[in-house]
Amino acid sequence: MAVEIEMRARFDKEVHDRLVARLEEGGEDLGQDDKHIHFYVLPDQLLKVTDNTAAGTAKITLKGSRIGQGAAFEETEFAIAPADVAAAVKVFNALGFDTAMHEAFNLRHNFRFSGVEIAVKWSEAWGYHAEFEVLLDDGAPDAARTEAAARIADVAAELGVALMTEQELADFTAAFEATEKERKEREQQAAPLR
Amino acid sequence: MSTTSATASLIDLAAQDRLPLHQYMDRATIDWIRENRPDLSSVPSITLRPASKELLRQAALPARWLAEPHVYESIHGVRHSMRVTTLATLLAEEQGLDDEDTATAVVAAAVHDWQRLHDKDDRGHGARAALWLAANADTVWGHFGLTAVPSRIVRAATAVRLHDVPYDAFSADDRTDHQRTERICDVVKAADALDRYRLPKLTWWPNARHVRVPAFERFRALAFDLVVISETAHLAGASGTESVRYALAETGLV
Repeated sequence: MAVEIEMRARFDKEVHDRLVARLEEGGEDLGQDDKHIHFYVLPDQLLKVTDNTAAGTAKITLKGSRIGQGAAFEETEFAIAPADVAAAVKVFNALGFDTAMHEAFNLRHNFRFSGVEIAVKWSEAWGYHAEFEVLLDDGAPDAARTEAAARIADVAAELGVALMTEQELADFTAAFEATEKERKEREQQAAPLR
Repeated sequence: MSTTSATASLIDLAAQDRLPLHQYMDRATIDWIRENRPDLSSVPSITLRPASKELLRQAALPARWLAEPHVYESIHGVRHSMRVTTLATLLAEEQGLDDEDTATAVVAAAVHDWQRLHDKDDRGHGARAALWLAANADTVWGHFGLTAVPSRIVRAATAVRLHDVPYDAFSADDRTDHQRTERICDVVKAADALDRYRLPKLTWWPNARHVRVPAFERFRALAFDLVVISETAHLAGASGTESVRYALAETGLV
């Protein structure tokens, strides 16, 4: 099981455009990586079925903690065929996870900058945002984790991007889940048409 | 049910006069649109009023309100509806309409094609949508967080009814109705015309001769960009609503 050290930032279009220009100039362009994601927000875990639409691949991922519960994510992941995405979602929904499911499309472009992988993204819920990630080997010591987090913070600072704190992430995801719950309830109670 | 063939692009089918009943954007067509960008002035810097921004947040209508589900992802479906709603908001503000009339234009723009049965010359779809809007006014205005009142319902329904009737084909009754709600009607017709950059023939693209809103010219570049950005995002896999909201973000409107 690999360990991801992952931090995020949200920003407006002006910061987005500046960040992309900086990464195009000084980073390694890893290409477009759009994804359609079905994600299940479970107690203390995050389960995802990801259709990598730009890459033509798909995968199932279980993360050992939710966004807002620390920067280190124990991650189990395996590939599936893109044609099996719908079946995978059907299975998880049939297992009773349907009420915890959300769906999102991420327009995403990947870069590498100073040893940190940076995914610059837009999604309806998050708007413009970026994910800064360093992947560590299974069982990486605490010192390596601390060093990876420090490297991400340095890179973000160099790029002029403010990383979200764990509290900001927890608040944001809680607000998102509440809005989604309200939206689903509103849809179910919609007035009939004539 | 006739739908766009998996192999033929809309530009090819349009050239052969073989467009199907339901028409869906494809990569060859959006590439062709992008390559044929007219020499347009740059997109103006725009700051929408807060009330208008709030209306745009609700611009995606529920698919279950459609008369024909096949239209939802077609060239007259949710992306067209959301772009026309956006353009109507901009034109309304530019023409000096107040918040109330802007909201009425927004409601009309959102539903104007929602009772279409197909993407060809669906005669009378404006009149059908006007009747549907009047019958479901509380639900529709409620969707936008607004209250339906008779005067606004009549104005919006008139704009919806007349959106598919060319000015030079107006009957005497049409002219009378138009005079009562001229500014809203004109805004909806102009917004609908601006979104014609999505169509697969250059001769079908926006033409100022068919509209009566001076601000039409000012928003051509933005209308073109909204089509290209949202249709490209949709073909990459974004849903209809996601793709237009992305285009709004990319053009700095929200």
